[in-house]
Amino acid sequence: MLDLFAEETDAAEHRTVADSGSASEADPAQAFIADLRRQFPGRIMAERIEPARLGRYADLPDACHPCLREALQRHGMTRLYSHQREAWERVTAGEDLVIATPTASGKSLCYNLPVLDAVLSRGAKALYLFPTKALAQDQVAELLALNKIGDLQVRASTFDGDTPADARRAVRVHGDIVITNPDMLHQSILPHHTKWAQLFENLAFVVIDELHIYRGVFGAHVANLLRRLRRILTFYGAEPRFITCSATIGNPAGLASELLGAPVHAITDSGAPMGARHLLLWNPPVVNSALALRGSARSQSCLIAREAIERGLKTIVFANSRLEVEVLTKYLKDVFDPDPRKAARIVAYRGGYLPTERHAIEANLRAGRVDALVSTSALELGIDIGALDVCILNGYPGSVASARQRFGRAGRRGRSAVGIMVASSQLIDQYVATHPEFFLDAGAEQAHLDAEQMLVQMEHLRCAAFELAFHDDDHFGEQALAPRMNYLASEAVVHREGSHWHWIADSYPANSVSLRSVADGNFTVIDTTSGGKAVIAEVDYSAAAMTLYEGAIYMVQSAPWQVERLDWVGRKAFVRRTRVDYYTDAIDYTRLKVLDCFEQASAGAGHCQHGEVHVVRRVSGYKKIRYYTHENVGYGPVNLPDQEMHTFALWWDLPVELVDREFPDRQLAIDGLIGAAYTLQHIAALLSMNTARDIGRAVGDGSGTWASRSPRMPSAGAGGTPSLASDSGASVSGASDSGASVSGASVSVTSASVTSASVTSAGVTSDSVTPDSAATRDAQRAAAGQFQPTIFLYDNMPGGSGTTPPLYDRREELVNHALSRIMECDCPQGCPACVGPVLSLPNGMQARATDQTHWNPRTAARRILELLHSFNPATPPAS
Amino acid sequence: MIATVRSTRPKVPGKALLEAHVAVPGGVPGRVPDGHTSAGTSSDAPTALAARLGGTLLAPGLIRIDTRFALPLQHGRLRLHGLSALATSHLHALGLVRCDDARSLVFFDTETNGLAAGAGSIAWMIGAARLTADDFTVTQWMLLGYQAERAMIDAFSSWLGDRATLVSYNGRSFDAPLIASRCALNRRPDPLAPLCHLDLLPVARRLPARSAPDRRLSSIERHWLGVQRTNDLPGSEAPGAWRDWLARGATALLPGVLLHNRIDLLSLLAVGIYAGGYLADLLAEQAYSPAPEVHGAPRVHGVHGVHGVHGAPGASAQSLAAATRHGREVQPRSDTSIAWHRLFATSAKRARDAAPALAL
Repeated sequence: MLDLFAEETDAAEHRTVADSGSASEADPAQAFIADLRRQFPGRIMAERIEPARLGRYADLPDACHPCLREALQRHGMTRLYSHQREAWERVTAGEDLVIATPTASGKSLCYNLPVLDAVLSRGAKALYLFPTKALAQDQVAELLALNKIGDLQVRASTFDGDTPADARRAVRVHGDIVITNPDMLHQSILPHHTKWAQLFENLAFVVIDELHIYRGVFGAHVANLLRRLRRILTFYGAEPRFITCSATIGNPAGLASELLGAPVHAITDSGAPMGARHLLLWNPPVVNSALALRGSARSQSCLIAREAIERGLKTIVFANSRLEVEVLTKYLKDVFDPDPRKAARIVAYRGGYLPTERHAIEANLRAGRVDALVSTSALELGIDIGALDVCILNGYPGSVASARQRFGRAGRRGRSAVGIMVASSQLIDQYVATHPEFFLDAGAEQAHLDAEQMLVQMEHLRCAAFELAFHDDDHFGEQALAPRMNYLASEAVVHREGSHWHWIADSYPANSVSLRSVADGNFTVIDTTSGGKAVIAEVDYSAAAMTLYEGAIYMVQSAPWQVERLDWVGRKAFVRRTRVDYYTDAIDYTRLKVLDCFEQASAGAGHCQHGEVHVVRRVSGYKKIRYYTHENVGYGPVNLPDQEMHTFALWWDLPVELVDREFPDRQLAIDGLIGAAYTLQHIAALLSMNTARDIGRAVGDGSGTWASRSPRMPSAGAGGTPSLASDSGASVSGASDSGASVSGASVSVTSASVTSASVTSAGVTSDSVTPDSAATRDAQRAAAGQFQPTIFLYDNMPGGSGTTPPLYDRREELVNHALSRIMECDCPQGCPACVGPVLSLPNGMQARATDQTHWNPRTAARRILELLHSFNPATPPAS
Repeated sequence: MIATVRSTRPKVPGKALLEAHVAVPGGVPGRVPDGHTSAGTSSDAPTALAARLGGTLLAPGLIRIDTRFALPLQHGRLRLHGLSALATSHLHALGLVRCDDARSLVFFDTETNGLAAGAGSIAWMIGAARLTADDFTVTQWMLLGYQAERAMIDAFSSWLGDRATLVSYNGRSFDAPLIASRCALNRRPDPLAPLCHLDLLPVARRLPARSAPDRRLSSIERHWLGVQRTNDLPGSEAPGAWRDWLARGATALLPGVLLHNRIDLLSLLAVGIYAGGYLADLLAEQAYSPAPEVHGAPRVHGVHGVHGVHGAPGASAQSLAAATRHGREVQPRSDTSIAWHRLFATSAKRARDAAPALAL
């Protein structure tokens, strides 16, 4: 946290200038890259070097309070970076700001300087919002350090779930700077704002850091939360300035304006010095040329990490799921931490660890006691983790902005840094690998939120009504207030009296609204190994069904625990230490039903629509997958309640007569639909800056039947075609405990699950399923003519995440991209990079491989997309 | 503003209370015929409602009702006398060191829309009562709508004055913060903030249980005082009563809520007398003459220590009283309960340890 101070970075800058001047052999990063090039020719798809940059400085402002000036100088800080000075000037001129300069450019001083000055010189108060408690703690530590050095007597404190009850009053009444998170503001501060009168009456600044996190649904929540905050502030007569900070995104001013509901000026030109950064795009080698299968990203990431660690380069590996983090950690620990008695050189970091454990890890990182760190996106945010040299992304993180943010974690102190993105075999990654300019040259994506999202806004309208009565002339969002208030009155939660609407219900609206997801209570993971009951982790409700089923292997720091009992109602999982050489992956099914269609347009020969759907997800079982070989070594059943949600979806349908005419049989048509859905899902994720797991996909007849089975499964259902076969983004490959070994079947593995079988053909065990009786009935009904070829993409979050509705407007773009992805792919018949994994051709298709048309999953998907493409105008239904 | 004076000489325990219940104009306990509609329908409806409830319309949408209970009055097993029941020694035993006159006491209780806290909670009725030599007069302010709230706060504030000593049941954590919140929302100073406030809930928690399953007011009034309420509208229905009034103009339950609130205040007085008497007896038993002023914790611990040394386990009760007195009077918001709890735990332990020794 000291690196925001100019003196220290000055020293770093000198080093950097020397380094980049001579590209010396002595630069370990250079030597490392040279070695990689030599050892692994052909795997580096593209390279970029971002040159070092010199610092630009400005004096401390004269108006700065003398005590603050002295504290800064005593801290060795005699001047500011140019952007810090610009922020000062604009803030003191009364502007709302967003500062979007790179990682480690001293963003926090941009707000701390004017805030501390105002606290010292006019007793003003400030409210800081950070997305996580950990970041808030970091910020308090930073403020307290400065406070101590200058003896400023500024009272800065966090206010969150960890704040003891007896300290809360002191914070409310005496805090100069209150540092909290949106959830706390939402559930605790605003509903009880009368207790916070002292803070609100004197509030001069609201600081919002990590602004880029507030996009999509979360952003919509926070934008409405800020509307509530403004109402309360108006009541107390305060009109604070808003200072926000963001990671590099394409539209910082735009996102900030959407969030704050007012124009915001962006400062993007950093004056901080920066070391050179080498970026590499790495594609694993093809291991099976017949099927165009590439090696796994994980093994490549491991390989690169080992090379780096052996050279003494501090390394961070980012993985895209918690499971992936644990698996990678295990692989690296197997190499570098053979002796458990010694301090660990490899450490995993992800959400779900207990706070004390996280803090210990962070402290070890800052002290440089760890050689490599494997993390989820949890460390993408500004938690101080000390100096790192190499950053490896195990798979594309879903957005250029996110990738850049992750790369920014290496080279914080001005040394030359290395960033390597290892492409996985998934569609998005392969798209990026074949279009390096998309990743290396394009600017960061734009981030958006829709503060007018109706469901979100209604929830906050309730909360706002609780906090302060509404007057007829008040506003909340762009829509007229009266109809919405009348609705709430009809629900008997508000009461109209005169020109006011008062809260009347005996309930707390904020308690039923979670800003992040439908948190139905966290699950605690309890270790019962030695008869004790120690809580070792927490798991979100949404992830529990996929990770804590009985029999699951749950990993913490890559040590395996087995779930022995899951208390679903009590939200507890009882685990026991175990020694196994496999991990587990859940198998789930999805059922989908259209509730309402909002809009419809023709799409090629069919239609594209969007609307509201009901989705039911069932985890039916799990697979045991052996480490390293990724063999499927067994199954287990899972018996958990179905997860239901209402959400928004976008779907395409084609006339059944047309599909019947175009395809030799329905099985093949369904294969085409499945493949096209896969491609569309991933392209949609790419375009909307999401991961594939944020968007669910399903294929079917729209009547809402259980997915019977993964598509290319001629054995299942015999001649009948399953009417709906689908998988959510989170996991795939249907399997039942009874049907473990039908030969000739295929397994499909997607995105969010650990990629396991998709990569090495040797590692795949064919699995199969016997459709349950319902599916069989559906299949029979489908065969009887109710088949309606449809592809669904839905928001994989209850209540919708606002992802798919905007995609309706980009429906043609989606089909175009998907089609070109399939046409560009160089696999013979379909692979995870185009239509989803195809590891062995189903019997039926092999038989037809000699046909004129060369039907295979890829050509089938292509045909479906061609039918949906605008160059294929709607044809009248065949008579 | 005394609306009704009903002097009832009780002959049967409980009957007096019932008669007091009946002493609501309109005659029948509990229900008033429905059908009369809300404030908005006709201009004289609120006035009529106020009259029916036995009060007057103080301001648009604000009704004030005064009810006088003549003393002494039988309340369960306890005979409530006037001032004599809360002599200075009793007040001191309760920790009200600087209060020598029970006439300054204000017993109060609110009825809400059913929420524990937060800006959306409202006290739609405030009941408050003072004690004199021969009566206990309850004054209730009731809102007929949100807009009269400011008038209610003003009326309550001026009635309360700046010298009262508050007595409540759980009022420190519930009623007082709620009123503070409502004052803030109406941009009025909080009339309770400068006043001394004795919350009887923590006191009751530390008295012997006597088969009371918990320390809710309704439980201890039944188990300690033997009060049997008849025709009582449960307190939990008060929020619904007000919502019904607001939404539909239903008045059926309003008299019941008023009555319930009045009995709560009577019970509050009774618990104060009961607890004051209990603690004063304990102190007297220990022949403890209250020091002119007990200042500061060290002194309290000193008292405790002395008795501890002399091996009198009961002495802890004294220290308890002393500690309470200290904490409550000097620092109304200090962590009295913690200090108290610690003392109590220590003395209880001593008493336990002493018992086997005596047996030997």
